Amino acid sequence: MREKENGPESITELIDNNAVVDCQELRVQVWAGSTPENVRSRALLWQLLLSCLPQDKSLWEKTLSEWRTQYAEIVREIAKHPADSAPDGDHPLSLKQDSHWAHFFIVRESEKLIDLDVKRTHPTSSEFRRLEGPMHRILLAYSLQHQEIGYRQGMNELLAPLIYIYSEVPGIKSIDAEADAYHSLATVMKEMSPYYTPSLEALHKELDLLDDTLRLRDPELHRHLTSLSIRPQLYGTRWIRLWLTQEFSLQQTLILWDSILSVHPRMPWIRSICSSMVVAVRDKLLGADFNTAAQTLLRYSTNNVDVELVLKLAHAFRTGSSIQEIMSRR
Amino acid sequence: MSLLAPGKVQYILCTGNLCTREMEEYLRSLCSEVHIAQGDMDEGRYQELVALHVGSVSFAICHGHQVLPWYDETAQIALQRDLGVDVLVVGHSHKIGTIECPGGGIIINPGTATGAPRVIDLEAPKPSFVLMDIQGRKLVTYTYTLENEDDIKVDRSVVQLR
Repeated sequence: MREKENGPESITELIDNNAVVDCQELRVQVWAGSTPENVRSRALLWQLLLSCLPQDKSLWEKTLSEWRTQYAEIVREIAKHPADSAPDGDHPLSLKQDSHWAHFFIVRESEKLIDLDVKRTHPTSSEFRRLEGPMHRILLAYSLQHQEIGYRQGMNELLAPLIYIYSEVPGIKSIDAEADAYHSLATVMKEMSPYYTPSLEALHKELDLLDDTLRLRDPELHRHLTSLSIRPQLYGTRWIRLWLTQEFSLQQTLILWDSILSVHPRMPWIRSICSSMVVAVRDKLLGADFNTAAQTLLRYSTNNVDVELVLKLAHAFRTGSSIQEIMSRR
Repeated sequence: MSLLAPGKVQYILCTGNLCTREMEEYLRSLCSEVHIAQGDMDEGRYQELVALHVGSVSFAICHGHQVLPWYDETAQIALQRDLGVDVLVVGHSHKIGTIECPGGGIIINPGTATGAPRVIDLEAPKPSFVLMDIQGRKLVTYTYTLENEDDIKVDRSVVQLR
């Protein structure tokens, strides 16, 4: 763990001891290496940093109540069966635009893909098997409320840390955690939806920038990877679209997300982190042929890289410190 | 019938006289649970009487040419009572309709899906079929009748089984 400066309030203190939370101070603390002391603080930290919760705590009750009521309404709409709600004249085989039955079957199709992805989310974790119901509802609700984007593979992975943390908050009602996670996901997707469209334009732009970043920081490594024809297009898509949820252990991912959420604009920081991940395994990559190098990057979690090292490297890039120095101090 | 897309129905109960293998193939392309009773004009070999459960509702399918006298309501009710099923699905008369049985349960005749005339008809009946939505012991039936060229009439009725 990086050292904290003397004296600053912990994240829990910053949130609990003030009527108005200083989000800028929260960001500074996370930047300096602070970790939320418990699940509740992390849940609040994330919702504050996402600007879901306002800084003024007196508004929290109203804000929470509003979006929780809104979510309950959305879920009620989804649960409505056309057998009960369909007007006269509507029938199960109707192909009309406004047919409740036609809509019902379209929703059922979405559900099939969501169901598959939810079952595949953190497949070995028993906690996530318990969260399948809530995840399914949240993703379905999102896809119906945002029909222009619908449900896309990967949204389940972005939702995972959110629903995991929020549902672990002591004393929280399951349906409230669900509503909170839905709201946070919708907020994250406001930023991330350009990377989920069929047009891969935004994504490719980002990956090109990642390539440039790597070339600037580690010309030797970049030269070697380019000679092997290994470019960010090969390994970076998943890293960027999923906010690195697949590349580290769950606990390490949570630390990474504290960092990602504390920075705005986010993409340059995520790119910094991505390039740092590549640099962190430079020893393996420099000696490698195409297969080994590709595997190293495509199955990054098998490298068991410490997320703290990655963050150190990303910071170094920001502050101009030498990579060699950091790598040799490991 | 372009209305019958795959994925919308889970069971197909057919009273027979599909006549050709192609018709059977077509029905099997719509869903995986296709139950066919033997008609008097069928190429394929099916059971004379097909029994199944859908949820808590019991069904029997029979073409109907085995029930004498032909087209006789009383005889059909007797069969339904003997079988003790909630829903008896019969065909043969090419006449669409539902009979509520005095002892409980119903007899449904979905009519002719192809609009084929019976051997004794001078005029062809209108093509029809029945869609049933089963919710526990409540049956909501939608009767689809092809009135003329492309005009499809849909009638909805509800039966609450005991």
